[in-house]
Amino acid sequence: MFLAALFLTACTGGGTPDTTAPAVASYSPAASAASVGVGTAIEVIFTEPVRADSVNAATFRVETGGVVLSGTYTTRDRQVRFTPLGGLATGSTYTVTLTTGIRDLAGNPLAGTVTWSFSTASLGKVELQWTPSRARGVNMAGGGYKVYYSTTPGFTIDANTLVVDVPWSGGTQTPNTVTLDLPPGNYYFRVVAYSALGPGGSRSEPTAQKAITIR
Amino acid sequence: MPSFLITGFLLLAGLSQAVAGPLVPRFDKPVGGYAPDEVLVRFRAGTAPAQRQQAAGVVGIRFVSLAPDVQRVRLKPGETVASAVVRLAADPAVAHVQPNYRYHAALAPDDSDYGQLWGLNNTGQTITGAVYGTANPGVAGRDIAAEAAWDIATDCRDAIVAVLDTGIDYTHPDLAANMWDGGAAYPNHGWDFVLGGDNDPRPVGGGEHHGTHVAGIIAAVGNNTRGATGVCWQARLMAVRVLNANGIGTTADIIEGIRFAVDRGAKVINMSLAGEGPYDTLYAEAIDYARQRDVLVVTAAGNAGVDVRVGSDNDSGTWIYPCAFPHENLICVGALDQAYDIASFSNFGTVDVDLGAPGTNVRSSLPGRVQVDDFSGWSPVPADGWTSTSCDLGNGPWSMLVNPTNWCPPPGYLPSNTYAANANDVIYRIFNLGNGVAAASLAYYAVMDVAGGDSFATAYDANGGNPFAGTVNFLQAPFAGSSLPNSSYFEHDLGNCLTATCAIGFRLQGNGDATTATGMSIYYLELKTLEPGRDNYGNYNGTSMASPYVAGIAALVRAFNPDYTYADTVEALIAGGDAAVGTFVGRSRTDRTANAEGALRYLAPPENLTVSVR
Repeated sequence: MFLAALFLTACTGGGTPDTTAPAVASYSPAASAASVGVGTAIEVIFTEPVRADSVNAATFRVETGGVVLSGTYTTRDRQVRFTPLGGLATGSTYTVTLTTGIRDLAGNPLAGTVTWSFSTASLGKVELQWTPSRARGVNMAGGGYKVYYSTTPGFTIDANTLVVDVPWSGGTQTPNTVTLDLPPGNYYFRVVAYSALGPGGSRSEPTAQKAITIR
Repeated sequence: MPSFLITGFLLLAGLSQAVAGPLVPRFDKPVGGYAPDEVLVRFRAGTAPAQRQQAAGVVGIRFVSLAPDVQRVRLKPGETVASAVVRLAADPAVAHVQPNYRYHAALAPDDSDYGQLWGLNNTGQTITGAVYGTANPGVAGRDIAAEAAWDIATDCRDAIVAVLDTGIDYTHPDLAANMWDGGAAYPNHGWDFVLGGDNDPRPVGGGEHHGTHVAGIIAAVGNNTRGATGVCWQARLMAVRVLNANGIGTTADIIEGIRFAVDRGAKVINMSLAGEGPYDTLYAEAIDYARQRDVLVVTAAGNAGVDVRVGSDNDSGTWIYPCAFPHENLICVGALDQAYDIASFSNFGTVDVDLGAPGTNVRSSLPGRVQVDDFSGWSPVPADGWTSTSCDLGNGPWSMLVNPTNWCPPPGYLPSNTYAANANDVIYRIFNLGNGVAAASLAYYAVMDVAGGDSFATAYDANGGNPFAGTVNFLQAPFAGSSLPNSSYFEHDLGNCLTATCAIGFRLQGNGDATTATGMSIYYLELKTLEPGRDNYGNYNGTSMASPYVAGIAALVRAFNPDYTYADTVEALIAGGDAAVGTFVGRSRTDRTANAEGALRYLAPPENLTVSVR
């Protein structure tokens, strides 16, 4: 690596050309990893910068059940990230293949094909986040948030609506984020702030719904 | 025993309606959550101490016995109430375990006049010494829900409230403890911007009662057995005198007052003032200065009974300011009567008036006394010139001094009898303005019809007796004229008559020529004194009284929620308000009335919700 850098520097002055093939330094998710989050991107770090125009669905292939995923490739220096369109699917095994079509800036191909596989968790991990309430009643004993969710768009909240409580648990601020593990589906979320102030406590109006799909 | 309890309950309920009863704590549902590091345990009867110690020792580090078999257990660091409850409940030695819930006692304050403060707690009480005849009594429950709010918070000290007004009697026993501490720079709790300014914002003229009354609505010390109760029981009131003895202030004074309050940490400014006029750019900029520094300004809609965007004379383009300013940090308040109808005098407006609040028969602290004279005890000289009578001019009977003695016309008619051509008639009365009276003023209305060459005059004599005998000290020099069919308003300063024997008199003199003029009637004679440090209270009407209710609620809300911006506070005040009722419907931008409990309980929906897959 040190040498390659020297050659690169030399190139600009018309010196010795770079003939060292790029190799894979590391990647994630790891080979054979299980329970990978469905929102995870696939990331590879090479031993030297690679040409962005050499990275595509043919040279950096992610497939499951014989179907190649489409998505976005982001190349930055030595790092290439593939973000699959719509995320990964739950409970699936993915194979990643990096071919010699990937080249460094001098045009040298990858030293050899690299292949590994990983599999995703059976549930999708959904993270919700919101701005902390400025109301003290939410950020003290008896206060908190309720995260309501449904697979029905435009749902209204009633006694049967699925809900996760995010209560105050000490300190000056109630947590303003929560993570849920959910099976595949389309989900809609609305959040309500609450406090213990007044008889029976008090609640805010719910937020507008936010949607997400877990495949 | 059960029957005794029931009897006791009924008696208390009756007492609280009749007069302010003793302080009776009432325990409600747990409203404050529970102690985060404690649980309460009741052990099974007969379990051995060692067994109990072992059970509690798993989660606790300190133990206090509360009752036989009952202990308060202080939890080990890291132990949560939820898990301790689960673990202890599973222990065979434990009969019951629960969080140590926090309760707030619902307190009706013990202030002696609390039962009269219908705006805080409307029980349908009749206000004594009423100054507004309609809806007294009003409708029980139509109030700002103060008692329910006080379950949550009574203390506004974390939100300084500036009162831009005629000054505050900061020595008033029901206000002194709630004044802002201005340190060495502002030893008198604020600043006086009137006439060049000084560091003493106390009222100066006898008639300057307004600011002290407003201050008491916001924060007369609560639960001190004395007088009135403010929306805030504890507070830091900043006195900023921008209005003079006639209740008049200039743009310059008000701008300086706003900037003073903002720069010294006020979170809420109450400006119970309103004026008709063109858009005042510098005034508007001062309110924007407050907005940029996150200060809420609460103001009165004005008392002309008109739309704030029409003007008191239907003079198009002559709007009422500051109410009609568009600033987001400005809340303009209209006045409600005891039935929550709009008060007859209250301005209104569906663009500018944001909320309604109590504004009739509002009892609060005063820097002195207000004495409305009933015209008994006046001495006519001679006996057949002036007389004291009761006259109905078409809007009910009024006590009056009249000359001639048969002055009173039938209701709806103008007077027609004439006074004596050679009248030299005086009537006077002696008032006690000694013993600590710092200033006094006299105000009255007169229906006047005095012929040219004749005269009416007002005079005083600090030493008592007929003020027109010997050297005459005129309050109103002799003059002639007619106010018919209306009346004229007179106001005089009594600064040179602050004695125990201040005689005040009126004189009607004829020059001997026969006249068709109908003479005089004098009514609604009001004597106002300043008596700093004394425990005086009185009833006022006005949007000036409605504004401080909202300012007090705003201070409660901001003090309780230190992270709230002015915008959060405005949202809580409006969204937490009650739906307008009666004739206030359609008179404001929001169709809402102020509710302290609602504003404190209001929660905005969470903002900026994002959802992502991991």
